[in-house]
Amino acid sequence: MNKLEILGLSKQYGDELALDEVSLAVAEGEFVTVLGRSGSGKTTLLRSIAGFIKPTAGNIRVAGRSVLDVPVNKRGIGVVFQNYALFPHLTVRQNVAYGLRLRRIPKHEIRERVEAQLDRVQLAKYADRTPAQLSGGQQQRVAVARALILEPEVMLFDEPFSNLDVRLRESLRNELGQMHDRLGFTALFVTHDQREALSLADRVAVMDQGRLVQFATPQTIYNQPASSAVATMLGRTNLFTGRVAGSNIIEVEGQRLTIETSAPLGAEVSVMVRPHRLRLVSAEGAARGPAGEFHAAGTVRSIEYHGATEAVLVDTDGRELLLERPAEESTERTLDYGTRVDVRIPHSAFQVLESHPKQ
Amino acid sequence: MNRALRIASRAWFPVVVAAIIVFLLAPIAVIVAASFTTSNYLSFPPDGLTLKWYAEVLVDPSWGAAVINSLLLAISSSLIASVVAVPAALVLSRRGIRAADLLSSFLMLPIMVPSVLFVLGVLLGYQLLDSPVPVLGLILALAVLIAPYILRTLLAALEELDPALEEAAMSLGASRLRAWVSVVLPNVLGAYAGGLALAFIIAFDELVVPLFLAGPALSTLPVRIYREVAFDVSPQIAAVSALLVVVTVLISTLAARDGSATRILKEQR
Amino acid sequence: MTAPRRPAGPTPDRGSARAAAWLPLLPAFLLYGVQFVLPLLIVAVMAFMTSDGTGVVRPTPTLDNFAKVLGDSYYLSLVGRSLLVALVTAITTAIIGYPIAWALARSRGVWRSLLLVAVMLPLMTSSVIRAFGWMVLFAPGTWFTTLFGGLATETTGLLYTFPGLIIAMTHMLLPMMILSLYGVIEKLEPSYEEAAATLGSGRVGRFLRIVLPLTTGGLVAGMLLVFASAASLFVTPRLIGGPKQRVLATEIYDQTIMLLNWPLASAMAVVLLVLAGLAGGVYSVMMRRVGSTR
Repeated sequence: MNKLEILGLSKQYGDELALDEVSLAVAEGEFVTVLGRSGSGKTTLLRSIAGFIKPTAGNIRVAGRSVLDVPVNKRGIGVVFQNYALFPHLTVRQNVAYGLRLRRIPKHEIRERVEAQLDRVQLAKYADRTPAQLSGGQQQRVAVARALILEPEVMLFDEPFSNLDVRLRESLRNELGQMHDRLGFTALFVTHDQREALSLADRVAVMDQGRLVQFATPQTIYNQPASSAVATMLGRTNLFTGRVAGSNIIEVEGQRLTIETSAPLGAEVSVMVRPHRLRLVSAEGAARGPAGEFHAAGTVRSIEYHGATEAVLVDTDGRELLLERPAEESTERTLDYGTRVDVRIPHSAFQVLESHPKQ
Repeated sequence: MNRALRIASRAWFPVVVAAIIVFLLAPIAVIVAASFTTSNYLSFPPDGLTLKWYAEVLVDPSWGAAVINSLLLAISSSLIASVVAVPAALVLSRRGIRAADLLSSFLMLPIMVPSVLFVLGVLLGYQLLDSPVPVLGLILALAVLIAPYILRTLLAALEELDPALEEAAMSLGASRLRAWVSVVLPNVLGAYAGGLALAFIIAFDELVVPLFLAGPALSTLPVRIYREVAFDVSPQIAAVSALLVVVTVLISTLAARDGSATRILKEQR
Repeated sequence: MTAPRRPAGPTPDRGSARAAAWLPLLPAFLLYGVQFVLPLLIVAVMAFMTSDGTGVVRPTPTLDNFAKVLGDSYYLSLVGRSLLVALVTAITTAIIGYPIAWALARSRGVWRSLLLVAVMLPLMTSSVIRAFGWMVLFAPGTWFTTLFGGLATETTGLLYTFPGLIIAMTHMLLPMMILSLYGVIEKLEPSYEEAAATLGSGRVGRFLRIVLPLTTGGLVAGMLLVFASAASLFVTPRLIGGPKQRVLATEIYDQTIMLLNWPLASAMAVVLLVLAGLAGGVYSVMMRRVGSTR
């Protein structure tokens, strides 16, 4: 059953279209992440679902019923805010009990349910502390517990990790993932961090300029991005434009490459290659390489050491290609600013960016 | 010589600051010191030390009455100012209200407009109605004078509060009103206490409003001091003044325990 | 895109719900309406009435009162003195206030507590008591008065003199200026001053070249505030200025309570409002613009 359905949701602010006919559905127990840059509309989407923003068009259905006219406090949606928004004047226990106390549930039942919930998230020891006395991870657990105890249909997460340093983000991410595996809630998680989006999600919704541009599993998103916008959001990549010159033949910068595509003859397409698929050959050995490889000659512009890998920027005739190679290679073949090199890319590394309707 | 000059040039700043601090505290210190003088007229430095003036003041029923009047007026006007300012702050702190800036500027006006003006207007109003100014009129005039202080403190505190707190409460099922009461208010209580203390002190210390509006029977402490000072300057008044200062300090230290002093400082932005 | 928008509350759609959202402002509107707006209107209207000098007011509209206030040399001198006192006080508080405000913003520990007390205590002491203190200090023959030599008179010391009035007014309004300056200095990144120090600038240089230019906003705001307040103060001019240094505020009191010439008093009050109100108005506009660039 779909716990959350967004149907053609739009939000207009004067001249600006913050959401442009966004439609997606989240199944029960599914963890969907919404990935996008700032201004992509992902926050507007989340806040519309929660009820803080009133959309100008479209519908939102939670567990089958429309919530458009339902006020925030009656939508049955749990929200985990960016800074967790734990009530500073209440203890952990009181924070978690807050929603229950609003519903006039008998006190002893509240106590039982709160204790059970605190156990579930391993916070029983800290029940009497105030939020200021908790670590980031503990605060997150309180925020989740507080919302989950009300058994909402859907849990919304508003970039809860964006203010944290890298290591904390990773550990909290793992914790959240494990919590979800254990407790099985339905979630919509908004973020601008592609690592988070890919690692936590059952499915990823990519948003750009108010539109939903791709909604698929993380693997599909990464390997078959629907557009250059999606591709660049997932990591640095190399983009080319080419023209279809035959059946599965695309001409890119004067070279004919065999790339699988369903685009019609003569159509212009965007083509992408991930940096780790590029090869470098020194300029001296630059006899025509094996067929089946794209090649371009250029000079090394910059080298970035990343520990396990090295990122090399090569300037080929005014256009830059980014190459990523294991750091060991650099000892075998040292590069310098200005070294002349030949870049080789096997045809199989190329990927046409086109939307795949069947996800 | 060079070394002395160098030390002096580095020390001149603290000296200047110290001098200004002395300047700020001078009149008050003088009064407190003069209240101990044995002579029958005010002198500074005091001639000898005695507590007789304090004794006189504390047993004098007319001073006592003035204090009670001042207290009652200050309490009642602070209450009314709270009833006015607290709901107003809650409404005006909501984002997205276009008129909010304009309205809060309007509500701050009594601080900017010379108090003689609206006090004069109140007096004239009652004269035109051919009636003496009732106590309520005096209380309300004080209330309008101090309400902006409470409002300003609250607005500043509400501004600092994470807006997500209110939203979180609503997402957990609270109505807007419930969210305010259970989540927002408790977190601004400290600020409110500070603003209330400030307003109370201002109402207590206020001279112009009671001077114009209070009938002869309703003498407040500052008015009484003013009248005495204008005529006959006795150390008794110094004693009263010193007592007033001490009480004021007590009230504000009580209210300032959570750093309201720095909050008041911050509000001036 | 732009910085994250502050979340707005859900706006009620129905008309009645929207109206109800304004309900909490009702007490404010009531109080201000009756005790602020209405009295101002009464004063404004009364300023145009005629008085026959015996406390009777005849509702014949006239501009005589204003003519008197702005034309008669006695009253004009009051206006002039009020303006002058306000202006000079604004300047003196600015000069004296800056060092304290800076010290307050940058100090910690004992100094800071001391400064806080020094600034807060006068604020919370009744103006009568403060004026009273100056009366004692200004009395003829005290060591303080002798410091000022020729400025003081034989009979009344520094009382009823212009310098004495200025000193007392400065003291009265100094905390206000300090608070205003403190607000902006505190917001100033200490790293600017630190950078200047590493580049060789001494304390005075840092102040003149870094702090001063970057805090003119607070300075102007403070001066406007002090100006508006100084023009309207009553107690200090009354007790310290006395009969020799009369200002608008004290005259308004006399005309109202003693001479019962309400129309004239109202006209003076209106003039006072214009003087102080202009300054206050500019201040409010400034504050709103500054506030929105947080």
